Amino acid sequence: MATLFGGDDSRTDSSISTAGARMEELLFTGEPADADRASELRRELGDWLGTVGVDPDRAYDVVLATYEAIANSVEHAYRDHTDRGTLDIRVSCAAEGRIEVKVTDRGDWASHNSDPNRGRGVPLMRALADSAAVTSDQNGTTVHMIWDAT
Amino acid sequence: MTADDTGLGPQHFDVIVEWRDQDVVLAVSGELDLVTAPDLSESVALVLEKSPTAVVIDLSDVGFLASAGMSLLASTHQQLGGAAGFAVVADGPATGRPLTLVGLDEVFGIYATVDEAFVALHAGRS
Repeated sequence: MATLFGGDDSRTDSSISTAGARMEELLFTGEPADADRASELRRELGDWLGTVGVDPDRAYDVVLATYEAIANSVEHAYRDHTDRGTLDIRVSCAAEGRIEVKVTDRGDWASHNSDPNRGRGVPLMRALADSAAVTSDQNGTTVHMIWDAT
Repeated sequence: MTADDTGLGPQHFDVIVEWRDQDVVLAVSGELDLVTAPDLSESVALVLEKSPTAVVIDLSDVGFLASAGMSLLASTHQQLGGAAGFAVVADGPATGRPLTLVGLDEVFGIYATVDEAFVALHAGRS
């Protein structure tokens, strides 16, 4: 489930202070990598971006790109495994408007993306975000996307 | 912002199939993602069995379009292979822009309205 990440354990809201700048953070951990949950996560992220004051057009880009990252995990990450596996999502919004998203799973989807009619997820993420990187190692795959300060 | 204008509201999805002689319009409403793309795929397959002369997929009421939906549009276009006309109606930030971002506007025609799509398809036919 969603955790609103505080700077220390005693805080329950989503604000943390780093070097004097306010930052909002949303964290999902151990989420099941399935299509229904992916749709719910997308909606929860959209709602949260609205509450922290992100412009709706920008929020849509963040939601779509994050959904594509999640969708890749759902479709590919655990295809060689019997259980569905899980994924983690961390989204942060800095006061100056910089948004950072990390979606991490423990699968290996980046190594097989062959069907030309699929595989639009990564190009879409790259087009939507100011930077998008996909890294895979033996522990899993991480999508790291950044939207620069506005 | 409200749930409706961002397309982030609760999942609802349906496809209305409307035949105009041998042409067909599939009017999609809701969110086209991993969960719902198989439903549209099924509707497309049923329609293609009847060998339409043109297929228009109307995304005017789609509030969220993921790559799973885009891939279905591309594979439908590919499957028709020029045997029938194909066009997509998408006029909005949630649909037209993502399609353009992945370059699908260069693969098939994307129009603002169903009427515009048919004008273009019929012009191509004559």
